[in-house]
Formats: sequence, C-alpha cells, structure tokens
Amino acid sequence: MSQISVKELSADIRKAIDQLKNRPEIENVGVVTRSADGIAWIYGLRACGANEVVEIEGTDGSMVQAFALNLSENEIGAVLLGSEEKVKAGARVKLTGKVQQVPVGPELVGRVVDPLGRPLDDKGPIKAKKFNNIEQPAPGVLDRKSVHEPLMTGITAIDAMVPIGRGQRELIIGDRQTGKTAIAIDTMINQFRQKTGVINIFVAIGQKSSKTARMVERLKREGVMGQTIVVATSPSDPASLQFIAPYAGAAIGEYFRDNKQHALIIYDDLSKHANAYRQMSLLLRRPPGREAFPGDVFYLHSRLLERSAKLSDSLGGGSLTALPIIETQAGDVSAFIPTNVISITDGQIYLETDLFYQGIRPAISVGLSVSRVGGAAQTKAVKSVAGSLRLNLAQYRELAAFAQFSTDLDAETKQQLDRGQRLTELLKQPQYSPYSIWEQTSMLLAATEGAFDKVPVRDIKKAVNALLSELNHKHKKAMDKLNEGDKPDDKLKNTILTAAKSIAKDYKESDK
Amino acid sequence: MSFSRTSLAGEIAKRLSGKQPRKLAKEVAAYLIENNKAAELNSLERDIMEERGAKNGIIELTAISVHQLESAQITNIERLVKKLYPNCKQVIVDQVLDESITGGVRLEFANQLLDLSAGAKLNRLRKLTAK
Repeated sequence: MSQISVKELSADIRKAIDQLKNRPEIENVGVVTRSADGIAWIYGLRACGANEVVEIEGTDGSMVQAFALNLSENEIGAVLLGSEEKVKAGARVKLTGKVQQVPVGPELVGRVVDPLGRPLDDKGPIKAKKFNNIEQPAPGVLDRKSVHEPLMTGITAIDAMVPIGRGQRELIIGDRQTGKTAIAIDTMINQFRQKTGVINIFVAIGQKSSKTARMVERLKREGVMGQTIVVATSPSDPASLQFIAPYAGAAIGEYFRDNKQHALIIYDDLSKHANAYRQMSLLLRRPPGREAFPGDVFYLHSRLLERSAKLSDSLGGGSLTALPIIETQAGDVSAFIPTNVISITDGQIYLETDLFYQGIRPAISVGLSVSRVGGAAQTKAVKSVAGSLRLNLAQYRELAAFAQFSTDLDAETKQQLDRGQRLTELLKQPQYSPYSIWEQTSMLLAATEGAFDKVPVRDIKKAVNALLSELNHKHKKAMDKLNEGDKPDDKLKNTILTAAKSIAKDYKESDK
Repeated sequence: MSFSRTSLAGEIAKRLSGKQPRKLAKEVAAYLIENNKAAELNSLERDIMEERGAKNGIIELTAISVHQLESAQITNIERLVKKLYPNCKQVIVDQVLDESITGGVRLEFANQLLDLSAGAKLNRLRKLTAK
C-alpha cells in the first residue's frame, strides 16, 4: 500500500484551508419596513434574540446600530442608537449575534464617555482591553456579604445620621434645585480627599450638557477626575441612549467590583431614565400602565440597582455602592416612580425645599431620611458621638414651634431648643467642603456634650472652624489616629472637649 | 376574514404551482386592499419566497451585478445555490444591474444575503485590519 507523502498531505491541507477561507458566508438579513421617532420596524431576522444588536445600512453607507426590543411573529421593533435620519424604509438589516456591550477597565478612568463607550472629551480613543454586556445578572445571595464598611460622604449630617456603607443603595430624593447633585459631587470629592481609592462613576441621564461640563470642570479642579468616570447623555440624545446609560455605567462599575476594588456609582437622575423608557415603550406600542409607564418600569430600576452589592470574601470583597437620584414634583414622594425606587433602595436621603430656602444646606430632612444599613456601616468614631444627635434634633423639631416664646419656657425646654439650634447650625456645610472623620467626630463631640451651648448660634461655624484649626495644629498626631476611624478613648475625648470649651469662652454670649 | 401574513404566504406558495397565476394575483390584490395590507406586499413577497423554498424546493433570488450576467455565470450561481440549499430543486434567478456594488455579484434571497461583491470583500478586510 503506497503511503501519502507529507508534501501531498500538506498540499491537500492548503487546498482545504483555501476552500474554507473562500467559502461564501451567507447572512441572515431583514428589511426596514418603516422607521419613525427613533424606532425601526424590521421584517425578517427570525433568528433575532431579545435585546440583540442589529446593524442597519444607512443612506450614506454607514451602519446604524439598533437593538431589538419587540419581537413578534411578523416584525421586529428595534430602537435606534444612532442617527434616525440615515435610516429609511427598505434598508437592509443584519444581526450581530451580540447584545449591547461597553468597554470596561481602568482605561476609562479620567474619561468622559457616552453610553456606548465613545469618548466625549477629545482625549483620543479609549483603548479598552475588555468589553462587558451592559445587562448582566446581579450577584446571587451566596455571592454577597452584608454591608459593613463605611463609605464616607464627608457631609456630617449624612455620615452621622444616615450613614452609607460600601455596597449599599442610598436614594437621594427631592425637588428640583434642592442640592441632590451637590451631595453626590461632595461624596466623590471626599473619596479623593480621604484617599479611599474608591472609583467614582457619574452617570448623567438626560442632564444639560452645560451642567455636566461644569461638574467635570469642578471635578478636574478638585483633582477628582483622576479616579472618576463620567457617562454622559444630554436631553438632545435619543431616548435609547438615555435608557442604556445607567446600565452601561453599572457594567463599568462592575468591572471594579469584580476585581476586588470599590466603586461608587451615581445615577443622575432615574426620573429622566424612567421618562426615556416610557417614551420608547409608547413608541413600541407597548400597553401603557399607571402614569403611562409600561408595566415593567419597576423591573427597569430593580435590575439596575440590584447590581450594586458588596461581594463575599471568596469573590474578592469588592463593592459597588449606588447613589440613585430621583427628582420629585412638589415634594410628592408618594408618586409612582419615587415609591418604586424607595422600595428598591436601602434607604433614602430626603431633601426639602423649605429647609433649603431657610438656609439649611444640605437641606436634609432628618425625620424622613433613613439608612436601612445604619450603624453597621458607620465609622466607629462617628458612631460613638452621633448616637444622641438624631434624638436631640427630633426633640428640637417637636419644640421648634415654641421658639418664638422662648422667654416663657422652662429651663429644660429652653436648653433643648438651644441645643437643637446649635446642632442645626453645626450641620450646615458649604459645598465642595467635605469633612474628614476626625473633623466630624470632633465637632459632633463638642456640640453633643454641650461645649458650644453658650456660643451664639450665628458664631457656631466660626467656633467649629477655630476648634478644628486648633486640633489640627496642636494635636495633629492624635487627629491622624482618630481619622483611622476607631472610637476615641476618654483621653482623646477630654482633649477635644477641653479645646472646645476654651474656644467657646471667646464666643460666649454676654449674660443679659 | 383576515389571515396572518405567514399563513397567507403559505397558501399563495401552494397555489403558485397550480394554474392561472394572474387570477391568483388579482385575488391577492383584492384581499390586501380589503384588509388594508397593501403596504405589506414587499414583506409578503419575501414570505412567499421563503415558503416556496422551504416547502417546494424552489429558491428564488435576485442577482445584483454591474454588468449583465452570462449564462455560464448564471449556471454557476445555480450550482452554488444548490450546494447551499441541499433541498433545492429549482433556482429562479432575477437579474438586477447596479453599478454601486463596484464588482462581483450580490445574491439576495428571501431573508438571506450572499454578498460576493468587491465592496463587501473590502469591508470585511477593513473590519479585519481595524481589529
């Protein structure tokens, strides 16, 4: 029997390779039957999957991407991600076999991108090595660990009374112009100032481009952009891009969570996100429900927010903390979307317009704000001094109506009123000025132990600044130790109180 | 009485192999007008092509090229189609001239496309080099 030579075999292999390379590739194609308002209705493509990305041949030869949301027997409803002017009836449509993906990784840090990962900051292309699906299942129960590490916002009112932990979802809710985004920005700045290493992801959903640009500029000035990623969509962007923006941001944040790092994601705001989804659903002819939202609007936000979690140690212990923002109308927290998101999140920070205009900024309503994680995620140092703060403020609020009759009240009531006024003044904080752990602990200790009870309300901030300055100069080592977060011992507490009492003497009201 | 487009396409495909196709065309036109479905004619056309291909083994396609195809080229196309569709018994080739495809030929089936044009090859090359 003659043996085939290696050369002959090699020639056969080469021929087979050529045939394989030249084998024509037959593709499934569909046709756009009609297109309007950002929706293309497509005939064909029976093999199309839900949320699959399709490519439509534009009038100029370029490919316009869309993703299939409506799958029915006779046609597919696909939402356009690009310019709808380029799509006309009769255009050919091809499947890509993939769902929407976004580039992820450290290459995005410091960049401003759109929800498809395209750069918006003129710093060149993003050379990401990895792409993740924007829709991912949330970690399961056994993959998680309970939230136990604090995420300090640097805002005393929040860190003391509504503490946030890594992996928590804490909603920021309030009317327009009440300081919701300001809280988010201060939290991001604090991550940089306290060198926590937490990566910030800010998702601007339908926000004015001028507002986003101003925020980016501020973050650059504060040095925060070096650990921040901004995913931006403007009101002029298609509803489809506004719809996928938070999911893209979550996919970017999950990269850090799954790689043993900690990330903070801010969704500003989910009210606009719900509106964009409503617009898309109505155009896709899905049946409208309450307030014309589609029936799955709860699922829209629940599947997004469930992806923010604290992972177990076996999975690296990383976390993704979410600060979703919801804008209410006329303070109505019982509207459809706000109640949905309140029931999903692990607490809310409620901002009131009345407080804002009274000069109490941040305008946090202590009574209505809550953190369901609570003390488990609070720094021990702050926890040790903030225990009575909520109670004192609650008592003050109850008695506040009597403030105008202060001369007719008994000493105890007057003392509660005085204490409450001073605590309220203490909790006022300028924007872009987050406080560190030792600063918050010191000022709260001084105030709750009555060191500033004789200081006029108008001088509280000056007294606090003087106290912090003195502690920083004369007891820097002790303050650095306190900044690590451990509960202060009695000696340290005495040091702080002694300094506070001595400073209070300079501001003492003259006896009338 | 209204039928779904797929069941209508199936019925038409069955009757196409019978007699009097023009009578069939008038009946279908009347049905489409009566049920306000005249705009769906293009989609119906593709459904019928798909049905004929699946049930009767008759594959109909549009061959788009820059120049008129010679009979040898058409024979090659038919051979290629029979290789791609093993159940194919008959191939109907409808020729369309289009200078925009630069060169080669593009074969459009009911719901599939076989793009052997020069433009498509250049695009594939572009995608490969972009990676």
